[in-house]
Amino acid sequence: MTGRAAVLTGLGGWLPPVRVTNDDLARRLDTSDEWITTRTGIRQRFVVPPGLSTSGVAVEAGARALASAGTERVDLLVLATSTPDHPCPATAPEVAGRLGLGEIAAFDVAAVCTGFVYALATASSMITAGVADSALVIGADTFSTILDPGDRTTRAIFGDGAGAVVLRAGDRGERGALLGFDLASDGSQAELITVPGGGSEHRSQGLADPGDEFFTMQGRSVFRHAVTRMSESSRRLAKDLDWPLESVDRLVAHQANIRILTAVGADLGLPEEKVVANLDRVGNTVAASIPLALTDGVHDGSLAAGHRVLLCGFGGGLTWGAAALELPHLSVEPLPTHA
Amino acid sequence: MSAIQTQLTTLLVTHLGVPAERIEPEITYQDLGLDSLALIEFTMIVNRELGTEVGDDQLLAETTIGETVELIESQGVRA
Repeated sequence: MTGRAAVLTGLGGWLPPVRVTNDDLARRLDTSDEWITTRTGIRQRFVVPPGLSTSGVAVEAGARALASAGTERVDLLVLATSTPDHPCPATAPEVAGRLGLGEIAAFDVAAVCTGFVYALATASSMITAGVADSALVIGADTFSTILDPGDRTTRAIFGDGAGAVVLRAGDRGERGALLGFDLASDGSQAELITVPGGGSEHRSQGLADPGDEFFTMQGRSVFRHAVTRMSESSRRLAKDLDWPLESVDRLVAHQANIRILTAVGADLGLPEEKVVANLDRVGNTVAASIPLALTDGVHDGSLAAGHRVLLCGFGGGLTWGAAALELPHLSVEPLPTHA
Repeated sequence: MSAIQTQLTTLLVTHLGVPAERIEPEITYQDLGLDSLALIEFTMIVNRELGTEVGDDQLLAETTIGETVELIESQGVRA
């Protein structure tokens, strides 16, 4: 099939410099390396030091993706985040300015852990429609800034970071073309993943309960929905593209929890080696998780040019979705280890 | 052993690696070594394989196999 399409040409990611191991958490909270590792598969995560926020990590990842694509110019920036620098305005224009991209179209997309898939679909569609000829899509979050410092569960799961891709207009028949998307939401389950306060709902009611600015998650229900929805979305998109599931070379799913990744892989009948995982090193980085997993996978060789890849995400909203492409050749800078 | 318990035993052994000889009506999931996520995984497996609608908070650490059999039978499922 031919026709105008968005084509992936660059990829990069960045992690902030403060490394927090499970043992570090166990020294301050009632938890242990064994408890965290068996329940999440996460061994360490990185968090921002005081003074660094989402725009800062987004700029670092964006610069690396632009270098990977060998370009300094794009005409659209879409930033997926649910931890913007400010409630208003969006963080994307600030990021575009600091990257020296000039007066380009720039806006945020908020779909929590599905944010990158939503932002990718948005930018890809704008390129296909002719609104833009190139785009930088960044997923960046600093969840450490919205977690309850005393919550051993969320602090074990989440890490900060940013990942980014560069898209350009090309042909659907080219390797790297974004071939399709599946997007969905269910607002009736919004309370499962939420920051209750800080928005217009509580403000208009004059509510300001202690702690309502912290992120909350109902883990058991989220686990079930994540597995079911990511599997269903991946299956639906593969069917739309006439891709038999066994022809999928790699699944890059939102890095929420190793047991969710294992369950999604099992549900889709994909063997373990086809399910890309890097959450042991970075934790759940929310909107950054898929491009960070892509960056790690390309760097370590588990993702290679020609691979048929399904990306899938699930997050607050509830939102979920999937994207498909055949991976092009990409040169990436390895993620910083801050060792 | 009821037919439902036989099916639960098969699912626990094949999907979660629980030794078959440990599964008896009075034993709890905690005693079988299943953590909270394993209970959600098991809930999903039971619902898929037996066609039940067990909720996210119905199989708990202190729930026994016998209570699970009763719960499934109360949903009109017969092996």
